[in-house]
Amino acid sequence: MSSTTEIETHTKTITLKTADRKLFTLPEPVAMEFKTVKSFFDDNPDASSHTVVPLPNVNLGELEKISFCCEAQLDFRSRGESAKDESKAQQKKFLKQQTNDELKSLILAANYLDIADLLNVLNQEAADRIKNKSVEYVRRFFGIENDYTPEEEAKVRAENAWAFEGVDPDSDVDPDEDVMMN
Amino acid sequence: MGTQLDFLSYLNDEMSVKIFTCLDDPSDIARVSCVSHSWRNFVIANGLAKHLCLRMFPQLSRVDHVVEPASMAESLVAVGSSNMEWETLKKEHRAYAFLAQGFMSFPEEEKCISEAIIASSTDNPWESIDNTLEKNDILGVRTSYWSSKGYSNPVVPETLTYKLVADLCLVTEVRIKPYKENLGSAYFEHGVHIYSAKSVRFRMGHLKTYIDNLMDESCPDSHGDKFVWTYTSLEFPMVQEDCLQSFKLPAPVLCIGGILQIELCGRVQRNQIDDLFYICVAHVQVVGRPLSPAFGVEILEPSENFVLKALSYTQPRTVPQETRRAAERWHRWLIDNQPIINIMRGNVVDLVEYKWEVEDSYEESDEDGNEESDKLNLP
Repeated sequence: MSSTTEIETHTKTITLKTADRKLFTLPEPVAMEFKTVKSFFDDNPDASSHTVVPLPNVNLGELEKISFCCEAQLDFRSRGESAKDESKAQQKKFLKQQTNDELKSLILAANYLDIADLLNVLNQEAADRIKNKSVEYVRRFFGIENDYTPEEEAKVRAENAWAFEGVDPDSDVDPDEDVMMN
Repeated sequence: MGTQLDFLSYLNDEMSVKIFTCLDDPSDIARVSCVSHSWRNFVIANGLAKHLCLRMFPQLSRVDHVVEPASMAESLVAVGSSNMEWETLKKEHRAYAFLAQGFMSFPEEEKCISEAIIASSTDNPWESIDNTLEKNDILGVRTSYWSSKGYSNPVVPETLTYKLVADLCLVTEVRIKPYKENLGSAYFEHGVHIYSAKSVRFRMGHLKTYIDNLMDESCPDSHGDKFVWTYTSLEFPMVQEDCLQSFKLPAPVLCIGGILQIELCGRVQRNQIDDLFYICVAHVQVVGRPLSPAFGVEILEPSENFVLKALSYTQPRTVPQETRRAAERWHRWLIDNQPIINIMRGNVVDLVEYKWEVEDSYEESDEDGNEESDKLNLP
């Protein structure tokens, strides 16, 4: 992952201030992939590239990862059709390295930063991770409190009894730490 | 982060819907609705089951509204008008979730044809379309097949129209076996003639609702006006072989209205006697998943929209053996009584040339049809 202190002197850079009060500098083309950042500059015509953009809803960790993804995607895009497969493979590899919690944080961050393409990819990954999983797994994955009474739950499960055949068994893997291997 | 707060509450509805729309298995949607009250409400309020069904079969965009079994409707009478919208959403959720499940897991049947309706032309009363429902080639002493009329122009197409076992049926495959004529006579060449077509195409749709009874139509040529076709397939090439040829649809098609038509395009075989081109079919099968009796449809003419009726939420069992056997007995009776049925349908044939089939002996005779009542075999 590229260091946060890399500054390409021949490219304009933008500096962002995260929720945990850290400064993060990245090339302007990458920053402009974040609609939230772009809107900031559109709404503030007086702002220059030296103006620090406050992002109170994103932590440094997520920002670094997102910046890494977007920069890589921009690079692949500039190389045209031939780089499409490589781009997909790189994205897949990155996604598989994220734990469920990390994935959720990325979704929240990408949602806040308003990066449509990245969000679609992250959403699909989240959906893939809950496909064919039990209700309990989905609850733990998303951190949902079960507010059904036992009778209500029995009733709603009975209504959908057909959907419970062939579900992946919950192994001893805790979805909070579940990491997809390979 | 490890937050215990509901993840969805951090995202707006649009984003949450986006995650759930990535789920393409109806079982996942159903399980998601079991997670908590708010998730179930979310699934219902956003019509996720309906959207999934629409993605699977865009023809469902023609659904005007959904109705449920009468027993369920009664319990809604007491509900105030402000809740009606929510009750409608709940009803739609139940119906579409079960429909989506039907697409995936209702039993698949090889015999989705319930009865034959009409052929575009028939050469002789004993060569009627009903024969195509009979798997066996030889019934008693009769070879069982349908034959078109003969034409000198090989381009003239033919159609065979059938009613399926369900008003709403998923169709995956159609199988057709052309008729093979053995030429064994000393007067003609030895060999075989196979009366296949060059290619086939399928249409699916419904009967125009203002036509009460197909049997009342006295002019068979007008049958083209009786149906509304809402799906037409591409053409599939047919081979000139007397095997049961399988025509797999590129993707399952939802037949709304339960009517399926086979169009046989292009003739390839001349008859040795009159040198005209004929198309003859020995057997037809339609393979798919009937979605009735769980679901029914009511077409709203003149639009092509329809009412989706959820009639029962019970998972159907495979058609019981006894029902199958009863259907087969019915088919046999139809075949044995073709001549009368064809007259009833208006396929009037010149009586002077009419030859009656007797079940236990086959004889060429010149007698006219006046004694037909003696020869009918009633079940």
